[in-house]
Amino acid sequence: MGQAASNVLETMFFTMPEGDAAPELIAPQETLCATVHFSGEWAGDFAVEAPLLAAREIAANFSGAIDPSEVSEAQVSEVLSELANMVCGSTLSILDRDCLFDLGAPQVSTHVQAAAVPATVRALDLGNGTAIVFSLASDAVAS
Amino acid sequence: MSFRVLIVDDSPSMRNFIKRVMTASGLEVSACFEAGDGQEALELLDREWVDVVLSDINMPRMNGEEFVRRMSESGLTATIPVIIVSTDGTALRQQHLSSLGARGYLVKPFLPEALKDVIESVLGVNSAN
Repeated sequence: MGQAASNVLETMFFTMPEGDAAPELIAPQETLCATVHFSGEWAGDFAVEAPLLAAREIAANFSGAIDPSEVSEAQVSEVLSELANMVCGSTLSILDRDCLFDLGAPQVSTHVQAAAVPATVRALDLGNGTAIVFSLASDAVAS
Repeated sequence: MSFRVLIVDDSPSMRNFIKRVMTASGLEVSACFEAGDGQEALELLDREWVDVVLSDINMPRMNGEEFVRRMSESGLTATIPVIIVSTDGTALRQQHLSSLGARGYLVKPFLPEALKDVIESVLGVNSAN
């Protein structure tokens, strides 16, 4: 999952993670979280959470904006959704190249759902903040 | 060789990204059209001709699979090559889209060179010329 996230960030979002960060060191702050539900042979929820500043800079990199302030809040949400979509798809494709899966439309919120407990967490140090990618449920084989 | 392209994706940011990457990679795009889903794309193709279509899979109203199927079934649009651009890199999905009529497949994330290569390949352009 971390490998997929780093690859996506570097390739299309022109953002170079500086390495892993320790999730427990991430202070509570305003963050943006994009969640994607996936179904098929694997099922669950996948999310990417980033501080607002980092999310805005990622959106600026993706959009080609020179100044992050040029990017609207709607664009930031949309780009974070794309990031979550890509990392989820990449991760699933790496885990099982022979599976079939479907991705739902990403949902963006300003915090993680209280009832959800991350099953797998990876934190990436972006230099100007930490992005967290995590799955919210263990994988399950569809009946 | 310049060409006319239609980008089909429900994300305006992704459409904009693809446009920028096509230009930055040296491709000569004479016209670039956009659609938010397969239905909108088909309606646009009733009015405009394009040389190639780049389409996402997961879209509202009409997704990429249905769009490719409809393109292949229509005499008018069956000759227009469709390249799928998707996060799904699994072999099964690629084979399925190919069986529906897709002529190319590009997995996200992709480098500008990969986008250029697949477009030129589908259009039968040799970049060395």
